[in-house]
Amino acid sequence: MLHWIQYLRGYVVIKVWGYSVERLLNLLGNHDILVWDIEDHGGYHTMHISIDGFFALKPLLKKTGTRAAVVGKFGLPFFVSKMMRRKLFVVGLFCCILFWCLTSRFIWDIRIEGNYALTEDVLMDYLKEQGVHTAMKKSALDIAALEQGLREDYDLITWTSAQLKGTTLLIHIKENDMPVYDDRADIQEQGMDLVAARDGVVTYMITRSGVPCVSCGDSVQKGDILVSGAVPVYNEDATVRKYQYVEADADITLCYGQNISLEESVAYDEKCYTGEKIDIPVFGSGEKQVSLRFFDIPYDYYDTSEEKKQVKLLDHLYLPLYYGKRTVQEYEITPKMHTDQEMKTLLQERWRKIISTLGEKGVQIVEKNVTIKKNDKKWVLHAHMQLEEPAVKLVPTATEPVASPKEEDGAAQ
Amino acid sequence: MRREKRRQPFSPFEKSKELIVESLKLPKDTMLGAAIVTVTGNREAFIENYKGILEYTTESIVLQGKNAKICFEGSSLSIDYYTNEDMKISGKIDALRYI
Repeated sequence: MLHWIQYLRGYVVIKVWGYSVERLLNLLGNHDILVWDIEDHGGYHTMHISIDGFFALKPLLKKTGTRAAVVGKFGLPFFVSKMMRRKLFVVGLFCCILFWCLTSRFIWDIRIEGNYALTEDVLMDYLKEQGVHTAMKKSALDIAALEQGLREDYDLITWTSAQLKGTTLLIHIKENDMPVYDDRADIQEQGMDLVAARDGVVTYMITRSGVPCVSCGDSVQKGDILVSGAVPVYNEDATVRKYQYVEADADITLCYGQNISLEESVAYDEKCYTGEKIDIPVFGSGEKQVSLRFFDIPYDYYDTSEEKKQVKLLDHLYLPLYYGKRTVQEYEITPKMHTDQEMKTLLQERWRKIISTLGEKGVQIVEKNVTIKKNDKKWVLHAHMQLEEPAVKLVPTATEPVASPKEEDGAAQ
Repeated sequence: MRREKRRQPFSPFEKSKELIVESLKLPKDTMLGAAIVTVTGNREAFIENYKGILEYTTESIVLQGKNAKICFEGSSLSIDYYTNEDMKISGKIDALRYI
């Protein structure tokens, strides 16, 4: 605290030498002139003295036959007078502080945490629609409305929390882990049919709800109704009185054949990096970007990669400025030929990927016949497969309701 | 001659004054002008009620008290601050003597 007061008031470090420094010290004490940190350096003494004290020193020096010289000036009054001589620096400093104050009134970064099913792009688009974007004023943001909007517009989101940290808008969301049950009142009125999603033969069928329209072994085409969502209620004379609409539910497997053909060229171009590269500094603000290279890139073939970082002050004070570097790497193209072993591995790898993709989709392979045809230029893999999968989808029922009994009565009369 | 008499530390007048101050339980530093020296370890000393600085080097600091001179001996001695009434000395204090 004392140091701060001394700094604010300013002080001078002086060097004192001469006949009787002790007498000078006594006189300073008697005149209530504050001195501190007095050190003896053999031939002379150094001491800290207040600015007022320094100006009152002259008669005392004369009286005691000592001399004094200023060694250093410290404190705010000296700093200010020094700054006054560097006007541009002071202007720059003020501009910097002003810029900081102004930019800290805007949001420069939006982060979303806790989203799994909803992608960040979807949520960012939603925020844009709601008028929440980077470079918007903090004061224009209604956090409570944003939280409520997110909860209302996305059924999957059960909890939201938005907060401003510095210039960053942090949105935490919690998605519903439990299965979502739709309000199916309209389905109860209309009914849903199960239809074939592709051509094939029905190989397995268990119906839980609805009226089955096909049986095992039947050939169906895409769009054919497999299970109807309209359950008829019969009159005594075996005519349909009305339909009860349900959501058709069944386990149905369709079998179908599929041909796959994969081609791989023996000749290929290999990319060889020469090791030559150019680092170009880039910086920018928002969408605009400037690179510090004014000459053409002297390579015929090259790859470009870019690393960018956003300028931030402290932990969360992001500024709308980016900096980084663009790396341009030269490469040469060398024509090469795959060996037989490489060709085999390449085709096998692609084939394995297709099989695993089918497996992920829940498709079972019943039968497969794979042949590879080779010539000098390319290898071709032909595969004929018998596949089984539950290729069905729900559509609103096409069965029209039966005409009302009143109309029927009128017709009878 | 008169001046020499006054400088005698234990003059009858001083003795009687001390007796009165002691019997009335009055503070000795204000009544008798005695210096108070507080030494913390051998690194710091705080002196109150001194009259002036007689000598100041890194090896010794001699202060004038009312009745005696107080001499600090040691090495790297320096005065941190001083006012008309008190003073703080720091450094390695080897001896404190009253002359």
